[in-house]
Order: sequence, then C-alpha cells, then structure tokens
Amino acid sequence: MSRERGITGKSVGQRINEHSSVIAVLLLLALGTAAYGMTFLNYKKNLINVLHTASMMGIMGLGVNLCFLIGARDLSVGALAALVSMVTAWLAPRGYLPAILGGLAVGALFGACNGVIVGMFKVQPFIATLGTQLAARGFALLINKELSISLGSSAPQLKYIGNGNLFGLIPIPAFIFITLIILLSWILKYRDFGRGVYAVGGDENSAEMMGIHVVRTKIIVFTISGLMAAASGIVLCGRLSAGQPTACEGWEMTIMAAVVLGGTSVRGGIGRIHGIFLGCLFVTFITNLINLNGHISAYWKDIITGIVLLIAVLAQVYGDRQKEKIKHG
Amino acid sequence: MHLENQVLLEMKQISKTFPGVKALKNVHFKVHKGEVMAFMGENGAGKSTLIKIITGYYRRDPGEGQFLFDGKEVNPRNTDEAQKLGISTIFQELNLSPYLSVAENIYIGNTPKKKGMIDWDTMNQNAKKALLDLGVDIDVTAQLSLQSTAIQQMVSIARALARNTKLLIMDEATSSLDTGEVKVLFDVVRALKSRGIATIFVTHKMDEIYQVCDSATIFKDGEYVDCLPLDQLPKLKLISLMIGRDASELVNKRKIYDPEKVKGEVICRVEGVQKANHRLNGINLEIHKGEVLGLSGLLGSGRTETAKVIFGDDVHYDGEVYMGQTAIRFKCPADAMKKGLAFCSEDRKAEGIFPYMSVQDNLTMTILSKISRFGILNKREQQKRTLEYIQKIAIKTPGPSTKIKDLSGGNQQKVILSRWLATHPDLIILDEPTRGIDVGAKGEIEDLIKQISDSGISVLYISSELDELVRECDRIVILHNGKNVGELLNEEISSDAIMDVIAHGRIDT
Repeated sequence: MSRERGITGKSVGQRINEHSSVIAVLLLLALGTAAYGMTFLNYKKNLINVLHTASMMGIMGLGVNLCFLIGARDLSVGALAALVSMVTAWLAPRGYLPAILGGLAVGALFGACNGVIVGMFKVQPFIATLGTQLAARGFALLINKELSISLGSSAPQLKYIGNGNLFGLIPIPAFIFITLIILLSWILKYRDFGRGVYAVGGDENSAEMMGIHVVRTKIIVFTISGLMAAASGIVLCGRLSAGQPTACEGWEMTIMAAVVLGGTSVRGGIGRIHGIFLGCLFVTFITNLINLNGHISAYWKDIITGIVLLIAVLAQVYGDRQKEKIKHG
Repeated sequence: MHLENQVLLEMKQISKTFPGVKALKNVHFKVHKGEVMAFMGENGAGKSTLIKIITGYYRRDPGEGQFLFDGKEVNPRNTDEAQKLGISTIFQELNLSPYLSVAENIYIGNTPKKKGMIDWDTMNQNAKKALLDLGVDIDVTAQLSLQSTAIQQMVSIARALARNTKLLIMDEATSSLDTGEVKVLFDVVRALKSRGIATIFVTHKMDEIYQVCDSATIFKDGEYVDCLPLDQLPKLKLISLMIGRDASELVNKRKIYDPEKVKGEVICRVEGVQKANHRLNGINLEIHKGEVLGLSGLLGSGRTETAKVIFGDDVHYDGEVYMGQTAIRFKCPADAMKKGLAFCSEDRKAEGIFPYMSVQDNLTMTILSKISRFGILNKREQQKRTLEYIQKIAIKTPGPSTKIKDLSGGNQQKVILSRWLATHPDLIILDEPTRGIDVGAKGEIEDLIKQISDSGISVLYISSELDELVRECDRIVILHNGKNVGELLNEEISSDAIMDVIAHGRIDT
C-alpha cells in the first residue's frame, strides 16, 4: 500500500495521466446527463447495457492490459473470442461444462502459442499475434462454413452467463469482469509472478539478470490473455445465443485504446489492471451517447475515441518528461 | 593471506564458443572464501564471457570442463539458479527494473512473504535498513528510475547483499561512482571479506585493484595467463601480462611539447557561456589550431555540457561561441559539422555506434552525401573509404561488412574516430575517448590523437583520467561548477598540478 504514498510533488501532467480515464468517464456521464437526462441515467434501460458491453470488452481487455504491462501487444484477442464463441456453440449440445471448458482450452492453446512464439522464438509480439489473429479468424469461419452456430435450446446456462443479472442488478459479465479484475490485481501486487510482469515490462535484460524467468513470464501472460479472450468469447456466445465467426472484428484496436486510456504505459512496466474498467466504460459511453442521439453518424465514435486517446498518450509523454525534470532538477 | 584456505569456486577447462569465435579456451582458476580477486585482461580477453558463465547467463560448451562451487559440481542454467547458489553480480550497466520501487528492486525474486503473499511492509523496512547500512537514506517506496545513478548502483549492491551471497561479482561496478561512493563500496567489500564472502572484481581502473584486491587473475585472448597475489605484482608487470608486451614504454611516455601549437590561430572561442540551470556559469575557452586542449574537472563540472554547446547539440545557452572571428549560433549538430566540427560522445553505445549496422555503414555515416551521386550511395566508394581507414588506423575487424557490435570496444571507438576524421574537421571534440577500452587500444588511440593534432586538426580532449590528460594535452583548462578555474600550459602540466587546481578551485596565473 505504501507505494501509493508521496502524492505530493506529482506534476499536473502526471495526475492527468494517472486519472485520465476517471476524468474522461465523469465528463461523459455529465455530458450524457445534460443531453438526455433520465433517458441516459435510467439504469435498467440504459446504463446496464453500457455496463454489459463494457464488461465483454473489458474481460478481453484484461489480457491485453497484461500484455501491455510486459511491453507486448496482443492483436489476436478479437478473432480468438470469435473462434471461442464458435467452439462453445459447437460443443453446447454436449452440455454447458464441456462447452465452456472446450472454449477456454482453445483460448489457452492459442494464447500459449503466442507466448511461445514471442518468448522462445523472440518474434515481435505485433507480428506473432497478427499471425494467430488471422489463423483464429480462419478457423472460426471454417467451423461452420462462414455461418454462425445457434445455441438453440441447448445449454441454457450459457445464455444466463451472457444475459443474466445477479440480484436483477449486476449483469453476469460485469460480475465476471470485476471478479477477474480483483484476482489479477491481487496477483500483480502480491505474487512474484505479478511483480515479474512489471520487471519484464520495465527492462527485459535487467529482469533476466535479476533472475526473473522472462520467457516463462511471457508465456504465462499470453496464455492468460488467451484465456481472457476465451472468457469473453463464451460470454459473447451466451449473449448472442450463437457462435458468431465474424464477431469482435476490430475490437483489438478499440481495446488497446481503452488500455492506454486506463493509464497503462505504451512502453510497458507502468500501469494498473483496473484502469481497463474505466477505459472500456469510456469507449462504450461514447457509442451509447451517439446511439441515444440517433442523428449523429456512428463514425463519430471512432473520431472521438481517437482524439481522446491521443490526448491520453500526450499526457503520458508529458508526465514522463516531468519525472525526468524532477530527477535532474 | 586468505581467511580460510577453502576453495569456494573452482573452474577447470572451461570453454565457450560463439558462432565463429572461440571466446574462452580451457580456462581454469580458483577463488577462495573471503578472497577479493581481480579479473584482469584487455577487452576481448574473455572476462565478461567467463563472468556470464559463472552467473548462469551463458552456458559453457559441453565437454570435459568442470564448474565447482562450494565443493559441489554445479551448472547454473540461468541467473536465477546461480543466485540461489549464492552467486550475485553487480554489472556495469545497471541491471535493475526502472519502474519498480527501490525496495522491490532489492528483493524481487526473493521477496519476504506472509501466507504466500508478498509482505510489503516487511520488505520496505528491510530495504530501508539494508540501504542505511550502505549509508544511503532514501524513500525506498519511490520509483527506482527517479534515483541518481550512484544511488541505483548502491541499490544493486544492497540487492546482492540481501541474498545469501557467497560470491559477489562486480563487473565495472565503480564506473559510475564518485570517489566517496567508491570508498563506501570498498568498505562494504572489506566487510564482506571478513564474513568469508569472496568477491571477483572486474575493472579498468588499476588503482582500485591495488586498493581492495588480494590477487589478480589475468586473461588474454580467451586464455588464462596467470594468477598472482597483488603484493608480488607491480603495476607494470600486470599491464605487461595483460597486453602481452612490455608496458613501461606506454606508461612512462612523456609528451614532447611543441610550444608553437598553443600560440596558433584561434579557430574557436567560447565567451561567457552559461546556462539557466547553472550547469554552466561562464565558460571561456580559446582553441588554437592544431593543439590538444584538455578539459579537466570533476564529474558535473560542465565538461560535457561545454562540448555540447560548442557542437550545437545544446542550443539553450547565453554567451557567445565564435568560429574564427564570427559569432555563430548553431541550430543543430549538422550545422556545426558544416563548419568543420566533429564530436565523439562519451556514451559510445547510446550516442556513437549503430550496433546492428556494419563497420562500413557506421564509418561513412557522416559523409554519405559526399560518396553519393544524385542521391544514390556509391557502394564501391563507401567500401574504398572504409578499407582506407581500416588500414590507416589499424581497425581490427574481419571486414568492412562486419556488424560493429561484434568488434571490441577499442575497435568500435576507432571506427567512430574514423567516422569523424572522414569529415576532415578543423576541430574534433573527444569526450572520454578511452572509456571502457583496454590498455593496448588506449595506447593506440592516444597515438592517433597525436597524429591528428600534428596534421593540424585541433582536439578538445575531455577525460576523467588525469594520466591521459597529462600524456596527451598541450594545454589544460580546468573547470569547476561550470566555470573555468585554471589553466596549465605545456611543462606546467602534471597530475598533481591538475588536482591542485581542482582542490583549490583557482590558480594564480
């Protein structure tokens, strides 16, 4: 806990950087309320949907966030989620448990592949995961000849995972998302593996010299990322009541934006896992506000996200520079 | 002379082959408990490779060799395994994790735990104590990258001590420390010695070895040469063993001054240069044609800062720089190059070489436009120029297309020097040109500097090594806190005189 001490002496840039997503989300909430009043604030009719979508994106984003922390990228998550949604739907007639386990297994397998290619064969993560992205999307389309697979009446539990609410209040995906955030935050803070993630992201060679198993850390991180994408895919399958081979196209990019908005450094080694929560909320709120309006083109979503992302990254760079000044000052 | 005559580490018949190079050939040596041993040898002698094998970073060639540690045969497969055996290393380039806290950097991989969870409070307390033992009092929860280099070096020492270390290896660990900090470090080494912990010490600074080491093992070209107690090994003999020839000539060499040089035409003049951050507080220099002007002073006295102002790398300053008679304000180094300036940075790795490019590409980097026609590079001309310098300056490289990272430090430096000589400069600024270079190559580079100056090129020579300044310079200007405090001319120059000026902060001229 004591690491959080010493707030004094931080520059404006650093503070903006650290809390960029909170500021952004609050601004959007204010904007939404001002523009649409109760239509926007109605929890059951509107906000719950935002939470729902943000969670699906966020579960995937957890893995991507971990990859960012070790200074890597994972471009395969969107395609992998689509593939897992297909596998899950395909296995659903055998019961929900085989479907979920099968889905997770596929995710872990692809993730581990990424990890081995990046860790052991030292391929640039960007390229390696681009390869698995294409492969995963290909498999997803291959399974049912480019068509989706409907769940029909099999495995109703899956539909509950996708659409159900705890106490009629918290969407199950949001529950899963928050549980995973807590779990991963705990691992990052209190387990050697977690600290190793930061060390690898900070400086790989140093980490190696300090006795941290860099390759192993990378493989585990990518496997977790695969598992998270798979969890997302399973939720997606339940939500749509079908496996959808073309789902989540382009999500990896939006998610990367959400990760950076959440305060994770683009260079690795800095950031906290819960940032992704606000990052995803932000991205989803923008879509939500535009949908509520009905007149503004949906493309504004990307434009606004892009501009805010650039501001966040600039704040990061500015923050770094301030730190340098403190160091040499 | 050893506390206990027990062997801690013994290596027999160790070899290591890299693609195309045999870096170590049947090397053997012993370290006793509580012994402080120096590893000596020129760059490329195999010291670093051997250390990396001991620390598990490299694995030795399989075969007949043996690696015995604490009485058992071991073969650490990675740094973690070596650290668990009790072998810790402090490297020249800090190997710490920049964004973790100071405390974590000391304990990562070995964190105190409570119920399987990292116990942050205990860790922070232990770290605080460990650093206080080394005389460092800082907030251990602060991010490591915000600390100064010296403090970071202390952190890496604390890290090594926090483990059950039996053998501590220091690979050029003192290169970024000032005299006071080095003293603290040596006190630590002596304290460890009394606890029976052995230290292997690698450094280019001879004086340090005689201050702290018991014995020296000498390597040359990947082979074991000899191991002697230091009281039986005078400096000259040590150097001779390292470079494999008689060194007295090099050490006792005395510069023959040409008094005309320091009276030549002034080609560059610096007047009252200061910076808002007070790194420079009024520097005045005159550089004459063909002289070697030394800039001396402690770390932080403004030597490099002055050089960067002259070269147009730092444009935020007050005061004037004149080239010849005209005041000039360079916007960038490229501007300065056009006016006949050259600058060889002290940080070869970060500001000198392009490690993955060939010798040829590195060497001709500054003259690409001269050897191109219509914007297209003339490869044959490029190779011709490179071969010319390889021959003229005796750069040891398998060929012009070898990647520069595969050359030794001394040869890399020769390539960088050639890169600047190829621009035919009027003034070449050399910032610590012999840093991290072995004795033999140092001598060659010093000879080269003499040739440069004789051919009419002025040299601004920055160095922390007083011996070198004394051997090389026609005139020395001493800086202190960003101001010039003294000047020594020809025969006045000696190590004592320089130190005297630094100590008193001024001289009566």
